[in-house]
Amino acid sequence: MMSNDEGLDPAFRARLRSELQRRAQAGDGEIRARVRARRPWRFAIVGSGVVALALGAAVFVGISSSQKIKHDPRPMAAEQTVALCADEAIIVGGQEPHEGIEITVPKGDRLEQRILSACTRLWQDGELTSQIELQSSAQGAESSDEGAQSQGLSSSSRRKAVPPLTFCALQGGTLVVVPYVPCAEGDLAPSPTDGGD
Amino acid sequence: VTNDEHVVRAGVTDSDDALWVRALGGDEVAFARVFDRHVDRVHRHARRFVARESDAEDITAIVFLEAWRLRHRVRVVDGSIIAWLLVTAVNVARNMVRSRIRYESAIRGLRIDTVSDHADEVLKQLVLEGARAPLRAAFETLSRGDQEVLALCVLEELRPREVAVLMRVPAATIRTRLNRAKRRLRVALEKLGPGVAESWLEA
Repeated sequence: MMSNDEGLDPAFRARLRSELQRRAQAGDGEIRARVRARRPWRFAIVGSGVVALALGAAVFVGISSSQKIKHDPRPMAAEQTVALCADEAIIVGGQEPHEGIEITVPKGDRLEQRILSACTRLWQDGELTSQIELQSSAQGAESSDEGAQSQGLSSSSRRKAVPPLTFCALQGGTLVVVPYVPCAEGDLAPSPTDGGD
Repeated sequence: VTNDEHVVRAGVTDSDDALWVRALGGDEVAFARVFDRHVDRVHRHARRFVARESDAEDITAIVFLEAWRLRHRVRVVDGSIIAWLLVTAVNVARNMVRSRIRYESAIRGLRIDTVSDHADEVLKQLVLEGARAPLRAAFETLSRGDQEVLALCVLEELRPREVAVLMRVPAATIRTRLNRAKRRLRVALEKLGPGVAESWLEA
C-alpha cells in the first residue's frame, strides 16, 4: 500500500549509531557516575528543604501557641466579675432574690458604674420589665412603648422606661442591681464597693 | 557439533531476543546490530506521522535512545523488538514536544549545521508524493488513531496481537479499530474520485 521510499540520511544515521554505541559502551557505569555527581547536590537541596520545613514548622507552632495564650479564656475568666441585674421579683417576692439577668463584666476601675450601665441598657432594651407602673416625678414624660412614664433615664422614645436602680450584694457576695428600693428593704447587703446604700 | 546445529545456533544468536540480552550486558555491537536491522523501518514509519523529514529523524533517534534508556523494560514480542520500536515511534510522534525535551542535547549533537539545497528536497518530495498522492491525501484525512493502527497493522504488517500486547489492550480491540480505520480509509479514497479506492486497495 503506502510507503515512503525516502531513507534515513546516511550521515545522520551514522552519527546516531555511534551515539547509541557510545551509550551502550558506557553502560550503567556512566549513569552511575552521573548519579554520583548529582548526589551531593541532591543531598544539599533535600537537606536545605528539610531545614526550611523544620524552621517553618517551628515558626508556625510558635505563632499558634502565642495565639492560644492570647485567646485562652481561663485568664479572662479570672479577670471578670459576675453580677445580677434583678427585676422586681427580688423585691416583691423576697424569696426569689435570684430573678433577673446575670451579666459578666471585666474587673477594673469604675466596676459599679459599668455594672449599672449594663443593667440600665437591659431595662432600656426591654430585657428586664416591671409589673409596677413607673411614676416620674421629675419630668412626667410618657413612655410610648409601655404606657408608663419615663424617669428621664431613657434618652430615646423607642427605649423602655428604667426604674431607679440600686447597687447591692447577695448573701454569697454576688453583686446585684435592684430596682425601686434601697438594699436593706430587699434584705440585701449594701454594695461592697461603695460601702453602703 | 553438526552443520545443522551451527545453523540453529547462528539463528538463535542473531535473533533480536539474543542480541538484546547481549546488549543488556553492555555489548554495544549487539545493540548496533539491532539498530542496523530496524532503523530504516522505524524511520519510514515515523515519516508517516510528521510533515518534515527532520522531525522523522528526531523521532527515529528518540525511539532508539528510549530503547536504550528503557532497555530493561523493552518488550520483545515473538522474539522481535520491532513491534516495540514501532509502537514507541507512534507514541513519540504523538508527544513530540515532550519527547524532544529529554534528548534535546543529544539530538542537537546529531545535527550538523549544513546548508542544504531546499529546492532539491522539495522536488524529490514532489516526485515521491506524486505517485501516491491520492492515498496519502486520504490517509491524512483520517484521525490520528486510525492512522496509527493502519500504519502498524497494514503498512508495517504487525499482527494485531503484537500491537495489542504493547498497547496493553485486548487483541480484539485492535482488530476492531483496524476494521474501522480501513472502512474510513475506503470512504476517504472514494471521496477523491470514483474507482480510486478499488485501484489502491487492490494494489
